[in-house]
Order: sequence, then C-alpha cells, then structure tokens
Amino acid sequence: MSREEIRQALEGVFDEVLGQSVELRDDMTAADVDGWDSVVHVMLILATERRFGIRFESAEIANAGTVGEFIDLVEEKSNPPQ
Amino acid sequence: MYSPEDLDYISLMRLGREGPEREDEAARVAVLGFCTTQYYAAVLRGLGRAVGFPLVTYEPEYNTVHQTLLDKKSPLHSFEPDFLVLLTAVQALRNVLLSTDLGDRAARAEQESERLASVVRLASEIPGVTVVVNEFVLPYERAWGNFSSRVPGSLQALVRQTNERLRQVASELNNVYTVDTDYIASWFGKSAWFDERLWFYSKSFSHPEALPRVAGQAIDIFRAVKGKGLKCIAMDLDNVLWGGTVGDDGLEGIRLGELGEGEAYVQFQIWLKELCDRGIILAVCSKNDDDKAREPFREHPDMVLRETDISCFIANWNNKADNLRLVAQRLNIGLDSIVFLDDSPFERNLVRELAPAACVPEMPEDPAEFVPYIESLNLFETAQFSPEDRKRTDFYRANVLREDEEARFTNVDEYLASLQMEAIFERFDDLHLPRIAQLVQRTNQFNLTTIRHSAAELKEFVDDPEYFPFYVTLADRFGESGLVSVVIGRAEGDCLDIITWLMSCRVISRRLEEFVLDRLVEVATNAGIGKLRGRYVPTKKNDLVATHYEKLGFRLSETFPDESRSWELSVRDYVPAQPPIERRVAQLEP
Repeated sequence: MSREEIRQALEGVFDEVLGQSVELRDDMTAADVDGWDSVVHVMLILATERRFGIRFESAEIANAGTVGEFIDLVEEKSNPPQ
Repeated sequence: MYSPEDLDYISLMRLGREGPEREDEAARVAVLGFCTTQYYAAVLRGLGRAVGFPLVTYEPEYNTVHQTLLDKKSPLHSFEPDFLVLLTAVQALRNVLLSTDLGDRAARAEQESERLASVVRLASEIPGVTVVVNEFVLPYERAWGNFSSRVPGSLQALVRQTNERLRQVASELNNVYTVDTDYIASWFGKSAWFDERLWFYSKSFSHPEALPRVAGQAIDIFRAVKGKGLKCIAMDLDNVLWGGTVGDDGLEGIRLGELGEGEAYVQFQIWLKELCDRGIILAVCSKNDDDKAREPFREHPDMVLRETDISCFIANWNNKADNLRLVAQRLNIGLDSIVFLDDSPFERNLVRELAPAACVPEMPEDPAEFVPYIESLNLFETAQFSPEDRKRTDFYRANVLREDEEARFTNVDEYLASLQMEAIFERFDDLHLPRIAQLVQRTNQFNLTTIRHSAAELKEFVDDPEYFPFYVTLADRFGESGLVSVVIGRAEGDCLDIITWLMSCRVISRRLEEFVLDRLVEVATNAGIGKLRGRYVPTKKNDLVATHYEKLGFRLSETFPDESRSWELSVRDYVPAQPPIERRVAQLEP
C-alpha cells in the first residue's frame, strides 16, 4: 500500500469515527481536527487497527504525534520488511 | 430486538455522540463507574437510538462514584435518573487485591465488597430510580493455574465472592438488577474482551467492540422493568419444530428424534418447553390443515411439546400477518409482545411488512443453531419471577377455550353464569406480596392511577389500619386465573379513598370489577365509612378505564388540571351489582 493510498484509507477511517470528512495533511495534529478528543483518539486508533489489520503498541497509542507520523507508522506496520 | 453483531461499535459510538432524536421521550440514564464511562455511555446512547429506546445520559467526573452519590447537591440528583448503571472494572479490583498480602486478602476483598454494597444501596435510594450493576468479569490471571479456584485468597476466588455479594444486595433491594458481565465476556471471548493497552491508556474495562453486547444487557433490563418485555413465541411448525413437511411427508416422514438433525429439533423443543414452564406463552402459527398440524403433537413419540403447552393453536391457509394478529387478539396481548419464529424468509418478511410491531428475528438455516442464535438475542429478559408465572400457559389456554365457549352463547350474562366463577377477595398477606408487587409494576391498561407502589410500600400496607389493601383471585370451570386484581383504599375521615385499582387484562369483561365494588362497599360499611372516592389519572395506556367509575355508578366530583378526574359514590345509596361470581374464602396454600 502506498503512502497516498494509506492517507485516503485513513480519511475513510476519520469519516467513520467522526461522521464528517476530514482532509488529512502531514503536519496536522489532534488540535487541528474538530472533535478529536481523547475518546475519539482511541476510537481512531481502534478503527485504524481494524481497517488495516494491524495492532498498535501501548506506547504508540499514547504518543499523539502528527498525522504524517501516524501515516508512517501505519505504512511500516502494514508493509512489514520482507 | 436487536442483534448486537449487526451493530458496529464504531458507528454506534458516532450515533451516540449525536444524542437522541427527541429528548422529551428519552429515558434518563446515569452512568457511574470505577473506570472510564464515556465509551460505554456513547455506545448505550447509540444503541438506544438504533433500537428505539432513546435515552440521554449523565456521567460524573472520572472515578467519583461515592462522592457523587453522597453529595445530594451533585448534578446526579438534579438529573433525576430513571436508571443508574454502575460499571465495574475487574482490573481496578485486581490491583487493590494483588497489592495486599495473601493472608490479608480475603478481609480486603470483604471490605471492597461492603464498600460496593453501600454504593449500590445509596444509588437505590434515589427516588424513582432502577439500578443496574455490572458484575465483575472473572480475571484472566490465575496464579495457581487451574488450582486457583481452590485457593481462598486467589483473585479468581475473591472476584467470584464479590459477585456473589453484589447479587445478594440486588436480591435484597427491589429496584436493583445485576448484569452477568462474565457471561457476556465469555460469549464474546475473553481474549478479545481484555485489552490491557486500553485499560492502561484510558481505563476502559473492555475492548469497546464488546460494548454493544454489554450495553444491550442494560437496555434489555430497562425494557423489562418498564414492562415492555416479550411474552409470547408464535412459531411455525414445519422445519421449525421438526424437519420436513408433515402435510407432504406424513407423520413417519418428518425428522424428529435421536437421528441426525432430528435431535436438533428435539433440543429446540426442550428449550421452548423450558421457556413455556417459565411463563413465556407458546402459540402455533402454521400454514397447514389443522388436523395435520396437530397430528405430531398427538402421536409422534419424540415430540417434547404437547398441545397443552400451546396456548393458542392456529393452523390454516390465511396469511401469517393476519394469523399473528389473531394470536394477539385471542391471547389478549399486544402484537409488540410477540416473537415470530419462522424458517421461511418470505413469511418473516411478510410479517415484518404487514405486522411491523411483532419481533421477527432471523432464523439460521441449520436447526442446530436455533437455540444459540436466539439465546444470543436475549429476548426474554425479565425483572421478576413468581410462581404465578409458571401457570401462565394454563391461564391463556383456558382463556382461549373460554372464548370458544362464549361464541356458543348469544347472551353475555348467560355465558358468564355458565362459567361458574369464584373469586377470593382478601386483605394483603405476605404470601401474596410478590405477585401483588408484580401486578402493580406491570399493569398498564386497566389501571386507574398507575401508582407503582414499591414492594416495601406494599408490605407496609399489610398491617396499617389506615389502609384497606385487597387482592382478588378468580377461577372458573376452565381453570384458575390466579391473582388478577389489586385495590387499595385509604381511610380519610368519612371517605375511603381508592388510591389504586388495577386488574389484569386477561379477566376483562367478566364483571369482576363489579364484584370488587360490592366488596369495597361492604368493607366501607363495616368500617362505618360513608363514601368511596376514586380517581382516574390518564396515561398513554389506560384509556380502557376512562369511564370505569362512571360505569360503576360513581358521580364526577372534580376535574384536575392534569385532566385526571375524581369520582364519588355514596355507600348508603349503593345497590349491589351482584354479578354471577361466587365469593370463596381464601385457604392457605400448602
């Protein structure tokens, strides 16, 4: 899955959780998205896990970085090194 | 009915964040917990909205259960909850217990149990509230492996004890119910239920994916408490109670018994029989010739259900929606209290289309999956159980026979006289209190004031000389109808105020209310009281009795702003109605 495909799929996940479409940019953080509170954060994590068939570790759940970092993490987990 | 697996937790949470469509009709639910409550509360709201049980929630700050309950000025009390859900987290209990020395642990667990019991008691004291407590899920940690349950200080043993204590408290308080959360977690799968990451990060007691099932239990209990439970299973026969078509395959050709899929049908019937014995009414709704449909009940050696288990047997070639309405009419119950079971998707859809109030679950193709599937829907939640429930099948069956009899008469009085009715009219006693309490909670239609006296209140009436609390039972040549009416008077000077008068719908049109009035007048006369006063308080459901007092000869004395009306009757001028009902003296039941 390419980085761009992941971004699009993640936009679907945000839509599913928030009920509104969000355009995701790499430099965004939780503060930039309406409704992204601590409960929604967990829901986004879980919905992403379900969408990509991956699992985040505790430290990754707690570490709320930028959208770009999150996409990197999803990319790394969904395309494990051969 | 809803099927939690159809309901996705993420969409439910999103729905729950939107709030109810109509706030004025929504139940008010406080959610308190020793964990994060937001996930649960959002799913509960979403589910309520999805299944037509709209609700609004109140949640106090994180982990402030005790303070919130104790502080009478807290927003919880001004929220005036109809329901209070108390969430537990075994993860929190675990940490308390494991940090205590093994030798002191049992005492510590006892302490925690008592603290919890006092929280539950406090919650139950909120006026008008029903409390739902989630029991602890048994933890996955077993320091002694399988031997753990035999070690008194083990986590497994102590959590079991704590749950026992919770159930005990609930059984002592009439407005507290427990959710068997461990059952739900086991069904869901404990390895998926426990997600320690989410406990550490956000104090969530389970993976939120399990929440629709957990929240569903609370809504089931809410419904049961509100008297909206399901009462009757109306079922098809071919490929539901046996394999094959009895009309085509004949008695010998149907698959029922120990071989192959036949055993699955036997098992399904055993399950239905258990529900029937518990008081769920069974009805047959089949496209068949009547005699063909009855043949297996009469002659097949492997049938578990007998004709006497079926309160209403309808086998003809009319459409099933009409037949289902006929079942409702003959049993005198609402279409919305009937579950329709049919293997044919065509019939299920027809009923969903033409009789949408009925509850129509899917049916698995494989009969071996009938029971597990229907069980997963938890259709038959109940808020109480009394020995009277077990007789219900006979009551309803007798009612149907009675109606057949009625059709033979052209004159109602002759028909009523032919029934040879006998009634008991006695002051409340402890023996009958559970059934009295049940009627008081459940009766909606023939209920003049719809005051839901608590069990404790009812008990106080027993010996209070100011009160005149009576129960009424009815029997006739078709059988016992059981305890079917309650009337409570309160003496106020020269007036007997009838604060409660209610009657079960299954004995309507039998002139029992006239019999009761005759007795009330006798009671008043003996007590030297000159006047009876009754009040009709209209609700959405008690239109049936709007003219109750008028019909009985009372005079309208006052109309109140809430449209309730007060009626009076002079004892001296009253001419007894003397309906054809013999008064029988109560004998103590063995």
